[in-house]
Amino acid sequence: MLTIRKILVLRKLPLFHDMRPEVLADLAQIAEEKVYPKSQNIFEKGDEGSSLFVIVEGAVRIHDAYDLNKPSKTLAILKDGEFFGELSILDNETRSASATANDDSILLEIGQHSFQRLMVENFDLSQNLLAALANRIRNLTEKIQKES
Amino acid sequence: MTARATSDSFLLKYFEPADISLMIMGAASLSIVLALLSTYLCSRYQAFGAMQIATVSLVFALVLIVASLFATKGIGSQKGIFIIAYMICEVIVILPMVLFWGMAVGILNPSESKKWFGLIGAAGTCGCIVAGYTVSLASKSEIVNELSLGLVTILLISANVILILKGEKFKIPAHLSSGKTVQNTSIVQKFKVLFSGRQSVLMTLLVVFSAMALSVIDINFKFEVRKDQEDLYDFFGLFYTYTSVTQLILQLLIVRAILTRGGVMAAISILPSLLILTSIGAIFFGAQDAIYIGKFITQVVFFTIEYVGLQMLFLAVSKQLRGQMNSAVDGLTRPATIATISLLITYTLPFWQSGSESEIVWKLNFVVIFLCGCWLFISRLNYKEYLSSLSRMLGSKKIDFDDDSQAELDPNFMDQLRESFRDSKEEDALLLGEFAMQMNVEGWNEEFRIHLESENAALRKNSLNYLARYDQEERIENLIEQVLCDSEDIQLAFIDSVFLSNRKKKYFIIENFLDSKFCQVRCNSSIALMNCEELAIREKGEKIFNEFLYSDDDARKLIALRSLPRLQNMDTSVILSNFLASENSKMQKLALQGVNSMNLGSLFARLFEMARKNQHKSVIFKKMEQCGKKAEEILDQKIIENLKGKNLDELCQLLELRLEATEVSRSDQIERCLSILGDHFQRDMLEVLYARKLSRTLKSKELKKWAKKNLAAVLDRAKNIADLLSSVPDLPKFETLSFILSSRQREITLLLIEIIGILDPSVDYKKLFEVAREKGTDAKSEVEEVLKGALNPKLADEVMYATLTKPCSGKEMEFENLFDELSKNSSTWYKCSLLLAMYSKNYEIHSEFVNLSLEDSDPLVRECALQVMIDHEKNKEKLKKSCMRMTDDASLGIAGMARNQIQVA
Repeated sequence: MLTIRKILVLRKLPLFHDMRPEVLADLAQIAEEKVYPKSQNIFEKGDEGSSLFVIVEGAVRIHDAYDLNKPSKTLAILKDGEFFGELSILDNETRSASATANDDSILLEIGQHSFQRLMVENFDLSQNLLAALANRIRNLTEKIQKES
Repeated sequence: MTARATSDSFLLKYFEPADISLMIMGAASLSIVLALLSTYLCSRYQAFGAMQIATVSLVFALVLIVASLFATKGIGSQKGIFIIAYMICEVIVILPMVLFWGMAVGILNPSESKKWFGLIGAAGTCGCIVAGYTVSLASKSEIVNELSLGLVTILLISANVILILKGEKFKIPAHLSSGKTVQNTSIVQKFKVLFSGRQSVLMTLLVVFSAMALSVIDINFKFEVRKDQEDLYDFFGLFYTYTSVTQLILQLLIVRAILTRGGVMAAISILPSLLILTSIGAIFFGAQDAIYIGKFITQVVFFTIEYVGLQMLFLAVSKQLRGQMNSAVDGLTRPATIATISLLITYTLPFWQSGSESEIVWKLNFVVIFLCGCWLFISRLNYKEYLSSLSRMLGSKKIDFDDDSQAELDPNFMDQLRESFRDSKEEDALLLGEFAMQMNVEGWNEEFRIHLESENAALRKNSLNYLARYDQEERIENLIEQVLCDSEDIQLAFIDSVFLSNRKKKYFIIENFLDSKFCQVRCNSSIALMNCEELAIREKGEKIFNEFLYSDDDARKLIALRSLPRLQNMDTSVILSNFLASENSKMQKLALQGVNSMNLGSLFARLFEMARKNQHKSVIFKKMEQCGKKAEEILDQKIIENLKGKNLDELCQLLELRLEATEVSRSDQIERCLSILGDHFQRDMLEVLYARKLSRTLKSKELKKWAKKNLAAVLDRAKNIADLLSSVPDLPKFETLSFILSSRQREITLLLIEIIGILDPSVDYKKLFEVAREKGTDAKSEVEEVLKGALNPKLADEVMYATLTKPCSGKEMEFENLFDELSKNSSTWYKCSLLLAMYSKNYEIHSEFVNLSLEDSDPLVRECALQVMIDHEKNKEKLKKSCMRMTDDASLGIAGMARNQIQVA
């Protein structure tokens, strides 16, 4: 995949929204293109998470861990332009759900170490990440307030 | 207007001059009571509901009056009925109008207001013309009183029917009206609303001064008319017809232009200005009839421009409060002022009417000039507050915390803090101790000594650091044994504190640590001693330090490297350059800590190279900053050298370092360099840095002058980008170009924000533009209004266009036109965008551009060029040849792409 195309995919993520093209180019350099045929497992619930995935083409099913006795419950179907595992680029917590390619899919994978190295040097990236996390906390708080 | 003509006629026909002011005051008092009621109704049912209730009630009152007139005809005196009829007509003149404008400002934004208020006024004026003429005709009838009151009733019924049928449009949506609306408010609370803030007080004052000036003119006009005119119905009918026709002309031709070009300020200041001019003219010519001109002007301009301007001020109030505020400020204050003025004039009648004609003219016009002067001054304050409130509403008001930066600590507070520190344990003591250290508080020696025996290592460390800095020499010496028995961390901190202090015996104290059991402590002590002026001590330190530095053991070398920043009197560039050349990132980072003004010159080339590659850029910038003047000199020299070669990318890097890491005052050289960058992508970011630095160094007046000078040029560049952005075709092939131009628009918006922020520092323009981009048309219109206040209407329009234009929103440009426009720019991003936007036919025309791009220094461009060639090159041999060449590309991705293509072929 052309680096420019990676940039165009990455810029649509809230995490990297409004970032300068130069910074996105650095991000594109560390974003690895991965191809997953339909039904191939991307990661399992409980695996050590250390990367963020962005769907360039295809679809990914996020689901409970496989159980021999019953079909796994689908939590979400993610499509082009959506992303998952974003918290894994910040910590080493295990995956909270499994992910499997729902179609033949092309993903971009950004590893934790490369990302953190980039973040040390790039203030914009850190700022965007903080804003995205703050937004997530705000949304969750609102959700809790509505439910309680 | 029918009600106005009717009430005026009643007033002059049935009452003596001495009663006129009292009648006016009585009517005004009734209006005040009803305004209080309507403010309450607005808070409970919105302006729309209050309007329905008011019109229905007035209709009932009028029906009763007309019925009474018929019933009592020929029986006796009808004066009592006329008093009530006059008062009701006066209420009709004010109350529905206030409520109507309350409804209008509740649903419109500033732009819509400027567009519609003039037309609403024009429609009203058409009604006024018909009304004036109708009353004039009705005056010929025998039952003129009943007829004109009946007309008013019919008109009110019509208004009510329209409200019932179409009133939903005036309702403010529930999510906007709920929340802050004050329910069940008492009369006292109404007054609280009226005087609750600077904005409402200023608006009230504006209404007060305008009402005072207008009342003085109005009452004196009526005195004059009563003297001069015989057929009052006919005169007022015709007078209001003429004023209405003039109003209509103004509203159709001029009002909109004044509102859009001059804005709110022009609208609220035109009438007092005109009245001042008229009064000056009247005094100059000594003409008593000037009162006719004054009344004509107030009648024409007040309802066409002044009142609209006043209504627009309410747009800076939150939507849910606009109706109440309008009712309270305009509906209550205006009649209250009119009542007061009427009373005042009644009791001062001799002042207004005695003396010669020239004396009367002089007195009246002097009062008018004084009142209008105050009115103008209040208008100016109101406009400022209007802008300020708008930006507050948009959440973009800047709060300046700088004023408190010089706050001094209260001695009593410090004494209490010291006592608390002495008696506190662990975490509390740690916190208070940290505070004393950070604030450089002296005289806490005894308190810190108490904590030297603490179990808590951090507290012990803080205590030793403090004492090393502030305690007496001999007492410090007594501590050495204790410190040497403590941990490595505490020993290192203690040595550093002693080294940084101004003690005479500091090297004698540090020397004791050469025998520490910890390597890093020994090494740090040795390098600290190398700063001593005494040769023997220096040599002693150097000997031990060299043992670490030239050790074969990498771990010991790292220890030496960690110590190195403490060496302040020697050029360490030779040592550091070896470490900086290393591939080991940790070693590089440690070596960077040793950079200082003595070795910067020798190390600059390497540091610059690292910064360009984004290696430890932030550390390099920080070190440059610490080097101060020396860094400035080196960078200025390098910039001059670069200007000869004109490597723009390198110039950008040098400028970034200069602007970010060193002190900058206004510099012709920097400004020349920035202009040399032309359309370079980095220019906007660099200019932002430059503007920020200037904000800190230039005086306010000089800074504003600089900002004004630069705004036009930056705006031109911003408009060019917006033009291009709007004309990018809405096709996937142009996505890159659209993204790049959007990104450039964002960058230049930041620059505009910086410059406009200098011109008006009270507003957070970054927030303001975010609001304009993300929220609806109402917010956008309010943002535009704030910008117009800070700049001027024309510039504000241009800024809005340049910053808010969206991709593909204008007339699409052909690829060839875009190519002509952008291909001259050396930017990687434009090259990539153009390459990816090519179709086969474009490729055929521009194959030379593609070939050149294959040899570009930037891998991004080469990659795009190769992809375009693979997609469009029909000559297979040529393609194969190019791919063969690209298999050796430095970028692994491009080489792989070329190899794949050869295999496919």
